[in-house]
Parts: sequence; structure tokens; C-alpha cells
Amino acid sequence: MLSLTIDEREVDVKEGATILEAAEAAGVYVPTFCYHKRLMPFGACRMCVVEVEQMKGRLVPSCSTPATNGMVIHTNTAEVRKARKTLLELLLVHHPLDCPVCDKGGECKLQDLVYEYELTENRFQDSKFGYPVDYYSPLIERNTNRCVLCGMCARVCDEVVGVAAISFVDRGFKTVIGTNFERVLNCEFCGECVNICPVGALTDKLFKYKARSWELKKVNTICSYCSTGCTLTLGIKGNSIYRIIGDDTIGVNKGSLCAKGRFGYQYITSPERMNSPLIKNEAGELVRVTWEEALERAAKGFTEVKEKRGAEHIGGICSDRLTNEEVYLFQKFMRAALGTNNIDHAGGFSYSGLLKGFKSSLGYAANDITLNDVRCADVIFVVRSNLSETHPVIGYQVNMAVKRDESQLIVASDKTIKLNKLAAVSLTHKPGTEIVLLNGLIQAIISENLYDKELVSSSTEGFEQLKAKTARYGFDYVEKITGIKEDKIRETARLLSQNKKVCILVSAGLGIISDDEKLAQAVANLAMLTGMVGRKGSGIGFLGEKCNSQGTLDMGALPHLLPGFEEVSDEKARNAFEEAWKTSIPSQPGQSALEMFEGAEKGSINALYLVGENPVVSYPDTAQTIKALESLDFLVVQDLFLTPTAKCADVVLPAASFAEKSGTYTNFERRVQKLNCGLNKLEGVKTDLEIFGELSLKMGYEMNTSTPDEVMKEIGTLVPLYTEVNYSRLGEEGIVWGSPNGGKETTLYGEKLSKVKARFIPVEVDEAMLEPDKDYPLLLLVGSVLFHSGSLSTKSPELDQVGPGGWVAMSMEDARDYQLTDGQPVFVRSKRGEIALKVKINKKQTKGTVFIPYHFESQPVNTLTSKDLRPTFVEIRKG
Amino acid sequence: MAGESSGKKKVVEKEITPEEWGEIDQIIADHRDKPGSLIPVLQQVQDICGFLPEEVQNRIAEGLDVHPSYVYGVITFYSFFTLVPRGRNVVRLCMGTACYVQGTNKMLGKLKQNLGIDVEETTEDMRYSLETVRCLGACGLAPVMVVNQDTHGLLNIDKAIEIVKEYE
Repeated sequence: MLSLTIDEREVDVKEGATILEAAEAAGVYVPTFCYHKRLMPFGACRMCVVEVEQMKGRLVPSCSTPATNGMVIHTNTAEVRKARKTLLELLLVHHPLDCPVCDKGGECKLQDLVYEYELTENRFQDSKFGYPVDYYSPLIERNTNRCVLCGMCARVCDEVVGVAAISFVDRGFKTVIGTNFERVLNCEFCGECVNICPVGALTDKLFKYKARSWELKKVNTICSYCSTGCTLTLGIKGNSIYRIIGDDTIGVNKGSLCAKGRFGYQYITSPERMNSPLIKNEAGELVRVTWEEALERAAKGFTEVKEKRGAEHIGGICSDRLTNEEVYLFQKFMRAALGTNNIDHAGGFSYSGLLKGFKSSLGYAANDITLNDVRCADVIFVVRSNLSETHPVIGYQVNMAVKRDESQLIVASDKTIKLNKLAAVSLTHKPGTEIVLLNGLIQAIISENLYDKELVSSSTEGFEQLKAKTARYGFDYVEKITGIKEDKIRETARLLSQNKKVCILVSAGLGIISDDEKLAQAVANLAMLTGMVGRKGSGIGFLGEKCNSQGTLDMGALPHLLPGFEEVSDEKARNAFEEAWKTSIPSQPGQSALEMFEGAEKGSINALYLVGENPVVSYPDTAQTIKALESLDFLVVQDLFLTPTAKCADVVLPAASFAEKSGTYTNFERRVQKLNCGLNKLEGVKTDLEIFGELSLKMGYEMNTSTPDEVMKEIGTLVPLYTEVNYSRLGEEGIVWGSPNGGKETTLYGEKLSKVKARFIPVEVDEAMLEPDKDYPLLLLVGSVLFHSGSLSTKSPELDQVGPGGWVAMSMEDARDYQLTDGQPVFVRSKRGEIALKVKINKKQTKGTVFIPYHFESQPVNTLTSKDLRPTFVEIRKG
Repeated sequence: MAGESSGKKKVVEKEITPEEWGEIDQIIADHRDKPGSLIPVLQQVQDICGFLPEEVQNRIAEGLDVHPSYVYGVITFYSFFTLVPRGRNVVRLCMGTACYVQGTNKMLGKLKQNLGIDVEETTEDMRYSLETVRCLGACGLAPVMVVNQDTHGLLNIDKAIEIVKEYE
């Protein structure tokens, strides 16, 4: 520790701290332009100069000068003030005083400092620059005339986001922040540059001329897109969101956001949103009705099917964008009011598959890792995860960990991704061969005696079987299947087993075949073997696609699990819920989402309740999905938009968006965070919570749904993991469930796996599945892209503008072989269907594969896929 | 030809030949996985092409997996990189304080007139490019001019013109 005196205040700071950091710790304000705690010190603006008694004769930039023991610092002397005032004068020589029409007005650092330093006249005069303003880039407007050259935009783009789409251009007096040859922005449109710009040089186009910043009510809430769980600050005026910003003092994201979080809110006020319940009349048309009629009809429909055929003929599928409270009530409604365990979410794909595997290996269907662990890791191993696109803010952490703290990054991916340029080891393998690769790593670690023998012998079982089963994954065999060479496997094995803080990150939603559960088990095997689970700062992070992927599991939207991961078949656990709910729950596990769709076609499921789910677009095999929906006696769809799925329904119930309700989401870290309601509900809609309550009442079963707070209290009494989650205690940090010291630590599994029963479960895959058909030579990869999440984001026109759909990505080699050029119309055909798209040549795509995002209604990729979850092969012909 | 200076700079058109593209790709491939290789790549590529036009920058950016804006930022920072073709001989006149008071400003006017080009322009026969620099650190020899790698000091206008003529 160092102790120093700043403006007569004594302060102790850690070795290596700068004077500015020490001032901050002492509570002394020092003005800055170019300093930001998320960035490396830069020392460009000289606003933060101070006097140091030990460094007499000159002013010292506090942001880039290390503090030393015994320093005596003055931050506000006449000389310091004079220097700062002169600096401001110099900045104002060229800075246009267009504050009345500048969107930064009211929250501009330059404006504030000019005011603070009472700069009423300027000793220096010159003409203004007159640079052209970039009005043409999407979402972001760049006005170089207002720039103070602090460089924070260029630095955040490089240091945090890892793109460097804007840069210092030219030098000396001519220096500007610009793009190559003054072209429009070609970037990820995360808006981090806008958020960090201290002046009005970079502004949010959606916000332009809409409101003054001081008129906005600020509401902090949680993003509804991916499972990172970023805190958003909504800027609200009247009953509309005018902008979203990141506040760098709060949230797991510490102010960072991606394009989806920052610009993807316009769907909330979309004119396409439903504002009245609909029911299907005798002519088969959906007509507007009152809530009373719609709920009456819904209750009657479910009751009829229940009485005529039995409760096991009804199924319910919800989205993992519902809040914990809503998911809890949804499954309670299904189990208690309807009496069925046919409950699932998000098609039952990916995340639950991954976590099912995890539960069987480690006892919990949950991660034991935080975002901060990723940031501080020595080694980060990314497996089947294009996280810079699916979870951009986690991508920023990886970028900073590697660039700033020299973490070693290992990337196992079936194509080149953004992370590869940071990677110490790139394992670019053949598609679908991750498990073989992981088995190869396990084999290498065992055969080279690199594994954690103590942990393996004391806390795990099944090691001998694992050893026996993976013995055949020698280097030659693994290379043959995956294409990865021996030296890279050896190096990866060494990095994983010989470092202290190791994180493995796996994304959900990129699987080619239904091997998510096995992949989870293989990853768990590797993690237990190297001892990276049950060690603080290390662990596995499965990254769910949606904001509440974890909470939806916690709350039991699964056919076989009750809230809190209690097995439905476990009598004791079931009894506890039956007693509290004053009803009986079927003891047999219900059907999964895909089983329900299969059952619907066969007649064993006759009614479905789909909440926030759009299977016609997002589930595999659209033809079968539609057929299944048409075979139903009764279908209720609850959503924000009249989706293609809703169009098939007998009753459509319009729901509220995340900004119009409160509740909690649980992010990938198991952090339960509170949503704060920002807007009054659109007239004519209800929150999912209200709908479940009212519908249940109509069915003759009363649930306590007065407020989300009350629901959480009920959850707390039944789910031990959520006992600590209490609204009065849910601060801005949220609460990480199942962790000691009120969420300060996260060792869910306990040190050295002391709290769980850890098992090695050897897994293998059927490699023959990946052999292409001769008529369909290309392997189809379906997944997410940077600018979208689910199908919701496509309703925000701004995201569609920067991330339009309608394309199929293919490699240069394949494009050459098929004689196709960029933008050329083609038909993509599988055994099941055909769609028309345009070619997008992507040099990073692996030969023999094509990629189509699944978000777009207009590009129904799931007409090509099948519900058996085997790989889909396609052929391409010119359109 | 009189050295009238128009608003737009005169740029001599030059295409990159297929052989040059081959060499560029080789340089990129040699440096692909080495950190901090952008500047050496730019130097070597400029040695081949003589300048760094947009399509070359884009090729380098893609090959090294960096954003084209970043490449452009580096190129525009360093005065030895050029976006337009330079002549066979680059004449750099020092405009630092010592040289300036010794008359390099007048010398520059005369050179412009003689060569028929403005600063940062190139003669049509590609023989000369004219540039200015801020200080060459040879103030004792002021006024100073550097042609290619050769430094010429203690000049006057006529001497400067004579020297420039010697470079083919």
C-alpha cells in the first residue's frame, strides 16, 4: 500500500495506482477528457494536470502518473486552474458553439467544464474547421467539428470491443478521428463510441432531435436479449424510450453494451405490436375481442380438452425471455391448474441440453463462473462459441483479458471467428467434431499425466471408465476426424492443465447435431480432470441464448423438473409443492417440446399453450411444425406480435415487453437481477404475470399474482436456491444464487467439488452422421448473428438495417466451385424443402458448409431442417 | 510549365500489376501471425508498389485481420507512407525554424515553379515528388534539403535547383 496526501486528505492506495485513481479514492474531483476507467491511461488531454510537491516546476498529468509513497498533491491551485482554463480556451477556438442543437447538450463534459471554469471569453481566435459531417453511417452520426481528440472512441473500439473501426487519422494539426478514406462506418454498431464520447462528436442517430437529456427519466433495467444480463439505462420521456445507454458504475457489463442492447429497443413501440386479444371466429379469421372474452375462451378451450381427453393431452411451451416469476407461474399454471407436466421452453434445445449434461456430471444445471472470472482468467478456452456475436459483452471481456492482461485464449471452432485473431491456439476443426477433439484432449492429458490426481481421486468417480473409453482417441485418430494436429492438442492440454485460473466458455444454439448434452458432459470431464471446477476463478460457462435461459431452468419449465431442479418423480419433493399449491401434480415426467410437436401430429397432444414462442420460425422442420399446430384442437399463443405461429392460434393474447414490467432475470452467472418497469403498458396488453393469474382464476385455480415481489416470496419458500432472493435485497449487483456470503463468492460446487457428487461420464459421437449425401453435399449450419437474438430483434428496424436477413454464407472455395458471386440469388434445398436466398461469400466460412441465420421470418431456414436433430445437408443452385 | 497550384492535387495514376499483387500477398502471408507486423508489412509493400492505395490497404487489413480504418490511421500518421505514387526522387525541404529563417520558404516557391508541381505532388514523368518536413535535426547546416537519402546543407536557391537537376 502507498499513502499519499491529496488536497490535505490522506489516502491509501494499492501499488501501481495512478494519482488520478488515488484522487478518486480520496473523493477528490479531477476533471478529465481522455481518461476512462475501462481504458488504458492515455495522457492526451492534459485536463487532469495537478501539482505534486515532490515534482516542483511542472504540472503533472494525474491520469498517467503513478502514485508514490508520501506524495503531496494539490489538484486545484491557481496554477492548475489557469492551465486547465487555457486548455479549454484552446479547445473552444475550433469547437463550434452549437450547443443549442447538439444532442450532447446538458451532459457534455466540455460544456460542463467551460461552465465550471467560467470561461466567458477567449483570448484566441481562429476560424472553425468546417469538416463534413457523416450523416450517412447507420445509427451513429459523426461530427468531427465537435471532437476534442480525447481518442476514447477509437480506444474503446480497439481496447474493449476489439474492432478499431475508427482511428486517429493524419497527424499534428490535421488529426481527426476518422475511418479509412472517410467511408461510412463499417463496424459492429455497438455504440460504445457514442456512449464514451465526452462531447457531441459521436451521437446516437435514433436520439437525434428527440429530447434533451435532462428531460429524460432514467430507469435501470436488465437487457432482454442474451444471457449476459447487462444493465441498461433507459431514457424515458412521456411513455416512450428515447435512447438506451450504459452506466459504467453499475451492472455486470459496467456500462458496455452491444448493438442489440443499445439500439434494439424499437420493437417495444413498433406499430406491429398487438394491442387487443384475438380469437378465431367460425370463418377461421382472428378477430379482436375483449380480454374477458379471450380469457373465457382460452379457459373453456383448455377445460374441454382436459375433460374430453385428459390433462396429459395438453402441453405448454414458454420462452426463456419470461421473468423468473412468470416462468414459475407458467409452470404452476400448467401443473396445478391444468394438471400436466408437459412443460418445456425454447424448443427444449441447446441450453437445457447443455445443462442437462452438466447436471448429470456435476449435480447442478448451472454455471459456476462469473463474468469477472472470465476477465481475470489465465487461460480461456472457447468451444463451439461465436460469443463475440452471440454475447458481445462477454466477447469484450475476452478481448480485454487477452490484450491487456495477456490471458491465453484457445479457440475451438468450425470456422474462423473474430476471436481467432486473439487466440494463442486456434483449433479450427471439421464441423461437428468438438466431442472428438475434447476426447482427444482428455486422452492427451491422461496419457501425459497432466491431470489433477488429487481432485480426481478424492472427489470424482468414473475416472477408470473415462480413461478406458478415451484411450482410442490418439493423436492420429483425432487428427483424422477433426483435422487438428498433435502439437496443437499437446499445447492446449498443457495450457489447460498447468494454469491456475482457467475458464471454458460454450455457447448454446450453435449445435449441428443434438449433441449438446454430450458436449456438456465432455466439457465437464475435461474440467474435472484438469481441476478447473471447484476452484475459485475457474470453471465452465455455458452461455444461454436468451436473457433468462438460466432462470427458466431454475423455475422448472421442464417436463421432468420442478422449480429448484427437483425431480417430478421424487415423491418427497413433489409433495412439498403439492402441499403449497393445494393440489396434486402428476408423478410422471411430461413430454419435451419436440415430443409435444410429434404428439400433436399423432393426436396424443390436443391443446398447446405457447408463450413467447414462435415455433413456425424458430423450430426445425417448419412443415411438420405447421402440420402439428393444425392438428391441434386448441391453440393459445401469447406474444407481443402476431407471429406466423400466432396466426395459427384459436386465441391470441397480447403480452407486455420487458420494459413494461418488473420481475427478475437470472443471467449465465446465476445472478438474479431485477427488471425495473420503465413504461406504462401499451394499452390493451397485459403482462404475462397478469395473464397467467387471470387465466388460472378462470380455470378455477387461484394463484397469488398481485405483484412479482409476492410471487418471488412464494418461490423463496419453495425453492431453497432462491430463498436469499428477496426484492428488498436485490440491489444493483443482484444476487448470485447458491453462493456464500450473500453472493460475493461463487463456488457453487464447493472448493475441490466438496458440495457435489462429480462423475465422469464418457461420451462418444456417431461420426458417420457427418458424412454428406451425394445429392446434398453441403452441411447446413444454422445459428445467430451479431445483430439479432431470436426473432424478436427483427422487429426493430434499426437492427434490420445493419443486420438484414435473406442471405446464405458460403466459403470462397465453394462459391468458386458453384460459380456463384456475392449477392447472387440462389435456391438452397434440403430433403425437406427449399428457400430462395442471396449468396454472401464469407472468407471465414469453412469449405463444405453453408451458414444461414434463423431469426428471419422472410428467410425460413427451418423449412430445411428436421426435428430428429441430425445434421442437415443441402445443395445450392442458381436462382 | 508554370507552377500554378490548383485546388485539387495532381495525382499520377498507377495500377498495381499482378506480379506486385503476388509479392504483396507473400509479404502478408509471411507476417500473418506475428504481432505488431503492420508497420513492417506497410514498409515492404510500399517498397514494391511505391505507394499504398486503398485496394492495397484493404488487402493488408484483411490479410492481417485488422480493420481498414486502423491501417489507414497508421499510414496517414507516418509521413514516409504515401497514398499516392511518388516520383523516383523525393525532394524534402525543411521548414523547421532554423531553415525557414534561412529562406527555405523562398526556395520552396522557386522549386515549385521549376518542377511545375505543388507540395505533395509528383511530376508527370514521375521524376520528382516535392515534400516539406518540419525539422531534420541538422539546423547547423540550415537551410537543408534532403533528396531521397542524401542530405544537402548550406544551400541557396540556385544551388538547390542545380542539385535537384542531378537526380534522374
